Amino acid sequence: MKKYFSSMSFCVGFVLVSFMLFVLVVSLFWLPYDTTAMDMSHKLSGPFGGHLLGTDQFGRDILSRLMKGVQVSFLIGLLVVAFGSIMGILIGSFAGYFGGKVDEVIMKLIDTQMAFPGVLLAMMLIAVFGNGLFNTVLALAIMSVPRFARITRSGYMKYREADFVKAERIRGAGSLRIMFVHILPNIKSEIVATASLAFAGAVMSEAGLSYLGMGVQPPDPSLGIMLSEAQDYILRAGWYVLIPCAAITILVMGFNLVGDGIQEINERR
Amino acid sequence: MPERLITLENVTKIYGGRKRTVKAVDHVTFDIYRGETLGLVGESGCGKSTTGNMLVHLLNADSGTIRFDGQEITAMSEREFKKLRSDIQMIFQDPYASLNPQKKIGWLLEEPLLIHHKEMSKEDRSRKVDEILRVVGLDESYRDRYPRQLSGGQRQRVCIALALIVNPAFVVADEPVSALDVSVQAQILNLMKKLQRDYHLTYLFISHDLGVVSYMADRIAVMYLGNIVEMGTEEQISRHARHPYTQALFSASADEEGRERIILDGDVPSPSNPPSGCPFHTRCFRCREKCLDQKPELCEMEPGWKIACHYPHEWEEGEDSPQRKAVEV
Ligand SMILES: Nc1ncnc2c1ncn2[C@@H]1O[C@H](COP(=O)(O)OP(=O)(O)OP(=O)(O)O)[C@@H](O)[C@H]1O
Ligand code: SF4
Ligand SMILES: [Mg+2]
Repeated sequence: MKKYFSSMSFCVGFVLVSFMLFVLVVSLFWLPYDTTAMDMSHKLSGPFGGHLLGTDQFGRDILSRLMKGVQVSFLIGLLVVAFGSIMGILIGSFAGYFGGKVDEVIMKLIDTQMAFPGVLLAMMLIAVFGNGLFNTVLALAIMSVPRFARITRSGYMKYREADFVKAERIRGAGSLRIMFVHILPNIKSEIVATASLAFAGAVMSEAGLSYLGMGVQPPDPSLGIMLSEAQDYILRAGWYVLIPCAAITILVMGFNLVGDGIQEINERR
Repeated sequence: MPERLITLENVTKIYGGRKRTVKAVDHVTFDIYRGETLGLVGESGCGKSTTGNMLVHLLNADSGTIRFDGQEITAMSEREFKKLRSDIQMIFQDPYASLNPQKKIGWLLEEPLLIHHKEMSKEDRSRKVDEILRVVGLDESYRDRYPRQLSGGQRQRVCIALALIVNPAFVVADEPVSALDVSVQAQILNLMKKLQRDYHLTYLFISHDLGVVSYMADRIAVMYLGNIVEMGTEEQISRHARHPYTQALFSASADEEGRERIILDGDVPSPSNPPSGCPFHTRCFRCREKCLDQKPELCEMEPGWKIACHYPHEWEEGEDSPQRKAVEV
């Protein structure tokens, strides 16, 4: 862990992610206002009044909605990374360890999927299964499987002929034990880097889908929904647009920088 | 008559796909007796590791039979071979690459017990780990260390402990000291010798270092391009070698004993395109017409002393051969 702080990207990313985590933790215990309580007499009031970040077109507290939106982003990011990584690691492990025909077929499928624009694929899945939080997660998770599968596979290809793996075979370790007890821990930092990048991607895609009205549905707040609602008032209340933008940027950039930093250090090793 | 523990009969291993094939091991036949150390020597790429890997069932032979203690293991599936896994162990050349860097030494040593002795209690396993650490000259404090915190020699001791903790009968040591400092080499070799006596081990000791092999081995087999070219007791091979290749190999290390040095010219031919006839004929100083197209069989010249050469009697010790002179110029 300590060695990663020698990377500038990691340090900056770490600060940004920590800040958002702080917001998340606070939001779990305390929100300034109810996120859906409307107050028609205080529509679009500016920041630093009774509401720290002002109110939206229905007089709802923007800070509360933002904090809730950050929760939703973290939840989606976490679920997407969890599903995507489990699937991707399983697929990549078997493909990379056993190689051969199975590997060829799996990699062809993955290449095909990667050639497909991600958000388009997610939109197609949502069109088929309907929208809502769970389907958004499912669609984004499926989209993130290939990157996990690829990084895992290349790690296994590197280690499957390693002396310590041969030694394990001679000691009687079975394939599953070698794959998941011995090889996987050796590629965990690569996987963590990928997870961080995938997290950023999921937050970004969720915002995009919600913005298009295909992700989380109103009145639940999400950073994407806030953005799409705010755009109508861009001239009257510029800060309203900037707030969700800033939150998305900090989250996405933070996780991207952390991922890049880890990759950078891994490669230097 | 000593008991045969391992027998190889016409064992062949061919690597490669449709286009380029490499005959890494070519109809190799030999025995390893219980309790002995058989040294396997030869230049890089001659097929030593391939032979060792087939004996530990990391590779399957393409043809021929390998028997361990009377049981044929060549055609066994991994499942069938599992019951023999603890009997046949291996020590690798590079102690840096052969230990999982993510696991502590104690964990690594306990794992084979978990695999092979599921009935063992945690305390028994723990006691056994401590015991084996002491046997290889380390102590309990090493349990909580990672491989990266150990020196090469200490790591190799751990590798030896890992091989021995399951009570094997046979251990393949593939260049076990080549990656170590000369000062550490002797310690590891002596440890291996001591353990062989204490646990009645049988070793196949692979090395290209003739000094090390002569020190360790009771008998030596010399390999060239996938073939055994000469095989006999340590004394026969290192002092009275008959095969031109063996003579050349050992003359390089025997300068001080007043023997002339034979320098072979040319490189080892590619094993994907081996020479016709005797595999050594492209570099042999005794090569004649017959050698170009007839491959010599490995024949027993004296009990236990086998040579694959058409002219094993041409040059006896002390006698000067014109061909040798010619090579030296
Ligand atoms: N997996 C493989 N695929 C193709 N060819 C291989 C493979 N492994 C080894 N070879 C070839 O087989 C031949 C024998 O290799 P092997 O590793 O057994 O030699 P060696 O005697 O152990 O050499 P060294 O002293 O360098 O370890 C070499 O020509 C090598 O290039
Ligand atoms: S058979 Fe001929 S070429 Fe081969 S080692 Fe003997 S003398 Fe040399
Ligand atoms: Mg080798």
